[in-house]
Amino acid sequence: MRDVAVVGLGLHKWGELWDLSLRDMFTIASRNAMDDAGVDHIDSMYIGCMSGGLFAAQEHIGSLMADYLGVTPIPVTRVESACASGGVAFRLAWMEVASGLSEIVLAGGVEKMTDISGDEATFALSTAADTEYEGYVGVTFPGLYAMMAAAHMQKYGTTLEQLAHVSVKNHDNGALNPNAQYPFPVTLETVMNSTMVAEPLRLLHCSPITDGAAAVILCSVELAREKYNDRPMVVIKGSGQATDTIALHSRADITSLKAVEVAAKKAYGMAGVGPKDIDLTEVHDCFSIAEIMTTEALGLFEPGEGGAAAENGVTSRDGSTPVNTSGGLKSKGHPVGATGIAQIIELTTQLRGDAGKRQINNPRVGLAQNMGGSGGSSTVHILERQ
Amino acid sequence: MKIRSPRYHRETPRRFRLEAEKTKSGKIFFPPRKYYENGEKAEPIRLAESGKVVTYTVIHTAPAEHSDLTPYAIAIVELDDGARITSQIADVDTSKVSIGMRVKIEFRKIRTEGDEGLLCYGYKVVPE
Repeated sequence: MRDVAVVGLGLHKWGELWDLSLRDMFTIASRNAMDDAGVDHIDSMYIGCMSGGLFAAQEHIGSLMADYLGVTPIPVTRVESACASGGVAFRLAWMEVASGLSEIVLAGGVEKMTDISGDEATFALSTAADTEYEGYVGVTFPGLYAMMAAAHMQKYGTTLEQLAHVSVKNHDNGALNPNAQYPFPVTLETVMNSTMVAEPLRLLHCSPITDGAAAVILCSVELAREKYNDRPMVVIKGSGQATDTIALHSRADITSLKAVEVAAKKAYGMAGVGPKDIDLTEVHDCFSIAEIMTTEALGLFEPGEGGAAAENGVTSRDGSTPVNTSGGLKSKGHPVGATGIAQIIELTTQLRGDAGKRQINNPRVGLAQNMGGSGGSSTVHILERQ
Repeated sequence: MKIRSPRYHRETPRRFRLEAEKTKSGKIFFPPRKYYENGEKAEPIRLAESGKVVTYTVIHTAPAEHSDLTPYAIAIVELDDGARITSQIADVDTSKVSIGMRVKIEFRKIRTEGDEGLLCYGYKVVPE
């Protein structure tokens, strides 16, 4: 296994994008990544896309994107792990370069979620849960996370204010991100009085439905030193991936996220670092409770302390443990297949020192955590500036 | 999405009769699996019909098949045999639901599916 660097980043402004199709968005993000890296070709691609079929009536994403990016006949693999599709695509691209099989690989993600009605999108997302034993009885994704929140509040005394602080903090960050879907701050009062979705979670505890794509270019550190060396070098130091039961009710502990813990342990071990060495973290805040539980699962905080960390400003940009400087899924948006890649882009941008107004002070090590379903799958990646 | 009736009928042993399996080491699987870890053997059982609420939510924004019932309570219920299920709580004032609340299983209509209006049944819990 050889060391792998992230040498190109490609994003575009996310939102409800009536003028851009699935293929348009992916092509734009990919071209941006190739231009950012300065590469004139790629050897293969991995594309995270949860449900081209249900969201955009399009499967066979590999052929489609190779065609529209003008890179046929290279191999392209579409990857699905619900909302963790992007993180898994990134891991596979890393493996392909690390193994020596390919030199330059693109890891991307895309989801076109607003070509169908809100009802249909809710249904498409619900297929990431156990269709027959969760979806059938009428539970929604907000409902699953709401049940985690209720259990967490009961066990640890986590409060509604703490949940709301997560959203406020992420919107404060997203307000400084020009690519965010909702780049504006929200007040605690607005969050706590927003429309009820699944008690205790309200609309502003939930990430939105988003159209968007993201792409990064990976190559060996050796090649990066030789040819793509005009930027601070960002290297992948650790990668972990794990699964848990598909149904939330099958898990012994509803207040913790085992797949995140296992993936984090592997990534920390590979990187030779621990939670205290991490300068910034992007976590999967699909719902405010998810940020609290993932930061605990990553070992950034003790179980039950994640809520207080948000409330006390520990996870703010100027706090000791900045979380979701990008705005997170909440403010930046959550085109499910693209989210895991966009997290890598935020880390790399911060590690390069290119994050503009939301730049934190001289970070060296960053961690990205991407999650599928109610925690049925997760990836963790650790990046370091060298 | 239009689903044909075989998919619905395939699940009836679990939804109508609460058929589960208990492994030699005592763990209950609902639904039963085709294979257990390390090839462990299991015997058929029927789930206990009472239990308590482990956690719950009240759904205000529901998928189309369930939207006529909003707001409705959903819970993860731990049955008295230790098995856990996700179920709607029917016949309850949603503001009165609490963690630890005792409930029992009843056979109920769950939803109507597809253009043919297939009536789908299964389990819900009600206050004990």
